[in-house]
Order: sequence, then structure tokens, then C-alpha cells
Amino acid sequence: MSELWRLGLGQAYQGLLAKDFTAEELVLDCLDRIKATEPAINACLTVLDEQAIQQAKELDRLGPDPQRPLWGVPLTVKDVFSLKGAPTTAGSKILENYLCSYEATVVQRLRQAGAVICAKTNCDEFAMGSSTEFSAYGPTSNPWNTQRVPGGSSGGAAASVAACQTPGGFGTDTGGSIRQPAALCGCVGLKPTYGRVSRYGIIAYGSSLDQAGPFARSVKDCARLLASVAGPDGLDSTASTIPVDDYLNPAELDVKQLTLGLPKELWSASFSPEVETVLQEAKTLLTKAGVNLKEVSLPSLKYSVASYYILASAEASTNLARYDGVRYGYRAPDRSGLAELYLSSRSHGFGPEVQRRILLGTFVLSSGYYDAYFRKAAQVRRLIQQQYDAALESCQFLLAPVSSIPAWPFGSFTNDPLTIYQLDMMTLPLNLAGAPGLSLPCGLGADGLPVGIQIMGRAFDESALLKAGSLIEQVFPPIGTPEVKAKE
Amino acid sequence: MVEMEPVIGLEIHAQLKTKTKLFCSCLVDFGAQPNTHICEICSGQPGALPRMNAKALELAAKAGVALGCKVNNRSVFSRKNYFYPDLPNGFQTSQLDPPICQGGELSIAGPDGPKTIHLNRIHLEDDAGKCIHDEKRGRTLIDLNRAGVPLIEIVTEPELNSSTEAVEFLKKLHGLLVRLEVTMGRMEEGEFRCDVNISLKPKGSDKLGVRSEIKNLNSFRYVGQAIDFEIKRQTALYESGQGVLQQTLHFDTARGETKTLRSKEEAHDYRYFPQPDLPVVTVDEQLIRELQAGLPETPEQSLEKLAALGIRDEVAKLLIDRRGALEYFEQALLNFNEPKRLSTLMTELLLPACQKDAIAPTESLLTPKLFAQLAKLIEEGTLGRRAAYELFPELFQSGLDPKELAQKKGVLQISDSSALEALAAQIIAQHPKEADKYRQGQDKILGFLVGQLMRSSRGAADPKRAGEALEAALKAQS
Amino acid sequence: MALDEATAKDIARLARLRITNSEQGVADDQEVKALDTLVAEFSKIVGYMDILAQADTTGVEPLYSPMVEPLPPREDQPRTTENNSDSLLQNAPERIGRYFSVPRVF
Repeated sequence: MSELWRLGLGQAYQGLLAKDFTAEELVLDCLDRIKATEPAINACLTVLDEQAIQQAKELDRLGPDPQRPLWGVPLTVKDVFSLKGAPTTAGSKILENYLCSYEATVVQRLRQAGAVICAKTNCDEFAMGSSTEFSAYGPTSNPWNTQRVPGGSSGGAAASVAACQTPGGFGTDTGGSIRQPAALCGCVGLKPTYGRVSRYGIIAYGSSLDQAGPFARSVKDCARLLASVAGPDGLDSTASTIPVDDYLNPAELDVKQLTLGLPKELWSASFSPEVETVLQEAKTLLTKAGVNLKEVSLPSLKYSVASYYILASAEASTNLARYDGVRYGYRAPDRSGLAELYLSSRSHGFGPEVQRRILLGTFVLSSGYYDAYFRKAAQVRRLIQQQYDAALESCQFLLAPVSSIPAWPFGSFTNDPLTIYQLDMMTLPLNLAGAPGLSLPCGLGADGLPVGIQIMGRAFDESALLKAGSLIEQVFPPIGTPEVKAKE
Repeated sequence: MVEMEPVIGLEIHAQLKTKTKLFCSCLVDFGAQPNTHICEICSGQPGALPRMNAKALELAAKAGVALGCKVNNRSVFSRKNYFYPDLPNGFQTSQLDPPICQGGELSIAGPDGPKTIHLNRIHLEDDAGKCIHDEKRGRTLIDLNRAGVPLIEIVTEPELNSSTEAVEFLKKLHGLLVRLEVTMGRMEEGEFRCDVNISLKPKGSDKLGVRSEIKNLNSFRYVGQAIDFEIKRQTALYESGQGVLQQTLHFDTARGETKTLRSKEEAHDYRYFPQPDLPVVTVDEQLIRELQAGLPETPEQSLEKLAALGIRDEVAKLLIDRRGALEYFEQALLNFNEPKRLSTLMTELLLPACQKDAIAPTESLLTPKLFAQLAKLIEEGTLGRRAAYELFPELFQSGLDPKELAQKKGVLQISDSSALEALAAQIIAQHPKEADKYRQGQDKILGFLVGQLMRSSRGAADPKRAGEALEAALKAQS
Repeated sequence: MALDEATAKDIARLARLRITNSEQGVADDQEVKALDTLVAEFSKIVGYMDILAQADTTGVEPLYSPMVEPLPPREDQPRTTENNSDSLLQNAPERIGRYFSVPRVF
């Protein structure tokens, strides 16, 4: 069989179980695809080819196992997931030579489910950014147009899945880092409820906002990936003990009985003409399909960017205190003592955006500013959560844009942090509320770039969210597969 | 110059007696090779997350219950941020607001009778690793075996007014926490250590002076010395009109002096905020009730109880202060309900022997039951006091039955009256002349007859009762 | 609010990040921030954050984490998984025996 890499995750899995092809054949095909597309998109920081082939051979030796929901399926994980014995850099120079001594719970569960991890994908340094341009290892390109960013911070994961390097991957979403690159690269990305998936072994950015989730090329495939990793974990106290639903067999939903709430604070933003056109068309298609759209209001959303950047930066500033050059990671040559060692290691090990957020986070927690910024931001967060829950009383899900502009040319905003923070306005309210959201492509713009849309649901109700997602997925026109062209 | 009075507050760190660390399952074991009891959590690896040890929580609540604190149903862990090479995460996980326990008190003997020292709070936190300064290489070496070990910090109100009071308070607190098995309390291992806040104020005034803080004292003696030195230093500064600067000090044990560690300007800004990786700490009413029910009585309660049994103060204090003595006494009492005699005998025989062997009475081979038997034998007159004292070392070492050993050694007294009567009759029959002289009124001759009886019994008879038996026999025959 | 230089320096000190005075020149050292750039950039960002002051949060309990039904504490039992201390030590930039080592603290 040829071009196995084109198969979606569910198709690939069925083919493996039916012995249409072996795990090794599929993995080799994906590794070839990675080799062919990497020069153009730079989505992977480490390709684990030897391990992956060996693992696939071992699976083939044992034979297909229908009890393992990802048996033989090649995947990628963002380079913030700890993978024992493999480099784990989080896109930072400070972890350049770091080798992990333990495995993230998500990685462990993926292996138990039979998945073969083929690569670790590129991201903005410590997941801080919206374009992957802040990776210390060079930016990833958008497979639809390699002159443009793939979004971020999980830009490598989104670009990789969109370019069909593997049928699925895992990323993390702190303020939109799964949903926004999924939208910009034209694939599906799910940010689960905070606490639905263990954070153990995932390099932390904003601990009360971070959540791991899947990328795939269909909603159903995302459901299969979530089903393999969701649920409580003895190593993450914040992971919820609420039982996990059966995401592969959700309760029936009728598209004609769907009511989606449109937060006016998000829809009233100014969009680029290409995005605006696709979004309007998407609404028309939904209405035609019988979906009931209604306007809702979450007035505190106007504070969400400020609240988010204060809280996330505060948590980041102390999460990143461990990178001090003492036990692991980059250490600057010490010429004049310990104080100098700290300063030099951190100033040279961290890139500019990470330093910016560490400074902002340190500032909002420091004495004299804590109440006005940090505590106030947490109070606003409560208001946003309350308004989010209240909005869902009058509808089943919220529907919102993911990005007001399509994938942008490299370098557009790198020196304008505030503008890029404000671009996250569509995605970060969900992280503040702790709720789940699904981003899926709703069309291609006149510029040939994908546009995404997101639906958001109640906490721990991923089952209904995924079901609704697969219904509206069928309403939108398929966008196809990008033809990956190398940068000129 | 007005007379100045020291005002002292203490911050005590006690290591909790758990098998594993506060946030990971690494063993608490300081004897091990450096950096062997470490994992991704306590060495601060990227992505690792903490999970709290339930036992540590229980022990912290237990300390709170024993000290009369309000144990909060909900308390919160916070990150305390600062850089130091022995602090793997770049923050310590501690509690700010609210801590697990608030308020509470402990009384000590003050100059004018009992004095109550109020507690501000008790909170849970993890310990840092250990830095070893290698002079030769010019490097600092870091061992993280201790990193993440559970501690409670007990903070007093500034209500102590002398080094004597401070040391007395610490000793009493240490004794209590060790007895409760909250901590092992080995001070040389740093399992019980304290920071001292100290300032001077004009006597009678409410206004506190500028304070200094002496860090990390790990012996009662150093606490006393450091406070005395600091009082002198501050007094001299006031007298010379210089005034005291707010600073953090270190006590140089070799020189017996305090040294500046950092000044107010260099003070940390710890940027405390709620630790997002840990849920709220909950203590339910049920646990508090169980802890309350399981508490041993306080020394004051014990003293009262012993007084009610008619036991003298000095004896009672000995029983309370010596580890295991009170339990031993109470068990012995079940077998021989003569509290006064039993306690006296303990202070005369058992406690010195235990002290000599550096063991607790409860660890002795001579069980409370056997000890009660010994007391009973003396009380009945079956064993003479002197014989008992002579026998004791062997009993203590062997744990043998006192009556059997006394019998074997032939030192058991004949207290059985029929046996004594028979012996008396025999002696009178053997010494008819002397018997006659007694009957004729020479009372002194009785001593001779008693001597004969004692010799014939090989010392096993009680001389007093032997005399009585002889008298009775002589009178009956006349 | 606008940030002053003293506060900016203090924040950088707390965060252990180097900043320099621009006249000292930072050409060879791109990651190191110049103080004046930092102050300008920060004043802009913090100025934007000041929008929060408009939010009426009277009596609103702060939400520090959205966790729901988290795990209870664990039992005090030693780990059963393999001890990975040796591999943790392998990552040390500098080691003396089994110790991590750094320049002398005092």
C-alpha cells in the first residue's frame, strides 16, 4: 500500500487491526513523510526513528490488540512532555542538553494504548508565544504557506498533523496553544477541562491554566486520543477524580436541536476580511443545517487578556525558577561566583519572551503590587468563570472564532508583545474558566489559509462537546490536505 | 538610662516523623549516601508535581490539637520564592494564609509562677537540601536527601523575656512533641531547631524595639548563649546611643557570638502566592476528634492525678519527666495498688538503674508486673528491704521473677505465722535456761533468743515478728 | 502605571535576570536587556494591565485554580518504582562525587 501517511487516525487504526498493513509499515511511511516535509516546516525537534521502528516491530510481533485503542498508531508529542531517555527542551536553550529521567503520565498512557511516538514537536519556548517564533531551535512553518507562522505555542504539533507527518499528536493549551495553531494550520485541536488529563511530566508554564490535549484531522480522532489519556492520576493532585465518560460512544445529539451561544464580546472584534468572510459563511451553514445560534454576553471578557497575562506570568515566573544551572540544563561558565552563575545562566538560557514574562510575573507578585495585580486578576478570573457558566444556562455550547487573523508572515509581531497578547483574546477565556473547547477548521480563506472556529462546553462534559463537534464538522466544507512546499 | 527588658519570640522547626517526604515517596533517611533518596519531584525536575503525604498532615494537626490550637478545616499551601542552591524548585512550599493551625499555648514556670506563652500559628512546609562548603576546592556541594522532608514551623508570640524562659519553653515543647511522636526530635540531626527574634524595650513599656533574628539554632545551650549574647550586644548599642539595626544573624558557636547574615535592605521579597499544584488542605472534624481522644494527658494533668494518689511532688515530677516512667508506673499500679510505696520504690531502685543504662523503664527487662510483685513482697514482709536492694541489680538485668530469685538465694523472709511459731517453740526447747530467765523477768534475754531464731532461719525471718512470736510462745508456756 | 528604573532593577534582581544600563553597551549580548528598553516595554504592558482597576470585584473571592474534586493526599508509603537518582545526577553541569556542585556560597 502506498501513502499510508494520508490515513486519518481512525482509518489507520482499523487498517492495522485488519492487518491491511503492519505497524512497522505505517511507522516507516510516517517517518518518510517526516523526512520529506521537515525541510519545509521544521515541525519536529527530535525524531525518534530508531525507537519508533523498534517499538512498531515489537507491536507487530505481539499482533494487533483491539483492547489497545491506539495499537500501532504513530503519534507526536510536543517537546514539553517528559519522555524517559529523550531530550526534552521545551523549545529552550536552557534545556539544550537535558535528558529526561522519567516519563510524563500522558506518554505512559499513550504507550499503554499501543501508540508509537515518532517525534517531539517544536513549540514556543516554555509554551510562551502564539507563533512558534520564540523557539530557540528556529520557527516552524505553516504547511499551507511556509512563509507564515503555524500559530503557537504548539505550532510544531499542529503543523505536523496538518502536514500528515502522523495522524495525531499531543500539545498543551495554556491560553489557546492547541486551539489557535489547530485553526491556523487547519486541523482539529481539543483543549480538555482543566484536570481532565494529568499534567505530570509536562513542563509547566501556567500551572492553573495548562492542559494537555490532542491534535488530529477529525473530531472523532481527537476523541480516540482523549479517551486514551484522560482520567485521574496518582501523581497529579490537581487531576480530577470525576469519572471519565466513554468518548468513543457518546450519547446521541441531533444537529437540529443544537443551540450555540455566540459571545458578543468575541464576535464584535475586528477580523481580517478573509477570516470575516469564512466565519460569516460558517454561521450561515450552521443556521441552514438547523443549528440555533443566539447571542450571549460575558461582559468581563474585556478584562480577560490582562487577567490571563498576570496569572500565567506569575505562575511562570516561579515555575521557571528551577532553571538555575545548578542541577541540570544550561550553566554559563562561572567566573565570579554563584550570583553571577544564576544571572548568566538564566539571562543566556532564556529567550526574550520568556524573560519578559518572568519579569512581569515577578512584578505582579512582588510586595506592594500583589493585591492590585495578582489578586485582582484572580478575582476577575472568578467573574469570567461565573459568566461563562451562566452563559451556558441558555445554550448547550458557546461558539466563537479562534483567531481574528489568519496565519501571519514571520516577524510581524515579534517586537510588539502587547499586540500579540491581545490576539489571544479569543482563546484564553476558556483557560481562565477551566472549561473544555474544541477548535476545528470551518473553511479556507481567499488567501488559501485555513480558518478555524471553536465550540466550548461545560467542565468535564467532553463527551457532549466532541459529539457536537463531529456534527458541526460535517456542516463545514472539507479543506483538504496542504501541499507542503519548501520555503523559497 | 532606663532599664531595658528583652522581648523574645521563637520560630521552631520540627521535622515530622514520617517514612517518606512531604510531596514525594522518597525515603527520609539522612544516613544514606548523598543524593540517593531523590527523585524527579524533590530534585525539582521540569514537569514533576507534588502530592501531599497524609501522615504529615495528621502529625501537624496532632501537634495543633495537643497545643490547644484552632486546627483549620481548610488551609492552603503557598510558594515562598527565593533562590538558593539547596532549594531545587526555586521556591519552598509552605503555608501563609491560612496555616493549618492558629493560636494555641504552652505554659512554663515563670519568675512569678506559671506563665502562659501564646502561639501565633503552626504551618506545614518542606525542608531544603543541605549545602556543604568545600573550602579546599572553593565549591559548595549540594545533597538533596533532605530536600522535601516534612516540617512544621511553630511560631510563638513575642512573650518570652529571658534566655531561661526561652530554653524552658523549648525543652517543654520538645518533650511534648517527642512524647506525641510528632517528631523524633534529634537536635544534633537538625530535627528540632529554632530561629530567635529578639528586641529590647524599656521595662514596663508596650513599645517594641527594633528586632534582630538569629537563625537556625539546634541546641538548647546555643539558644541560651545566643540570646544572652544578643541581649548584651543590643544593650551596649542602646547605651552608646547607636540603636539596633534590623537584621538577620547567625550564631557562631565557636566564638559564642552573633554575626550579621543579611541586613534589612537585603531582605527577601518572597512573593508568596497559593501553590497551584496542590489542592486545599482539608482536616475534617472526625480526625480532630480522633486526635483529641488519642492524646496523652498533659504534664499538668499527670501531676494533678499523681497528687490525688498522694504522691509527693518531687516523686511525681520524676515520673512525668522521665521518658516511659509514668506508663510503667501506671501498669505496675494495676498489679499492686499502693501508689505511694510503688512510686517511692521506683525512684529509689528502678529509675536510677534505668538512667545508668540510658533506657526508659518501659524498655527494661523487669516488667511493671514483676516490679509490682517485688513491691508486694516487701510490703508483706516476705522480703526484707535490705535483701530487696541487694537483689535488685540482678532482677533488673535478668527480668527474673523476684520471689523465685529470692527463694533461690534463700533470702525470703518467713512471714508465715505457723512456721514462725514452730521455730519459736523449737528455740525455747533448745534453750530452756534462757527461757526461764525471761519468764523471771529478764526481758533483755529476748534479744538472745531472737538472734538464735534468726540464725536458725538463716536470716529469712523478720526480726520484729520473730520477737513477737517468741514472746507469745514464752507467755503461753508460763 | 509607569515603571521606574529602581523598581525595574529590583524586579530583575528578584528574578535573577541581568539588565544593563544602555550606555554600557549590550551589542555582544542580545539576550541581556537594557534597562531603558525594559522600563519602556514594561510601562506599556503594565499600563494595559491597569484596565483591571475598572472591574468591580467587591466581595469576589479570587479564583486561583479551577480544579474540581482533586485527589486526596497519598499514604506515607515509600515508592515502589525504580530509584532514578543516578540518571538525575547525570544531568548535572558540575558534580563532585554524588554531590551537585556550584561556586562557593559564602
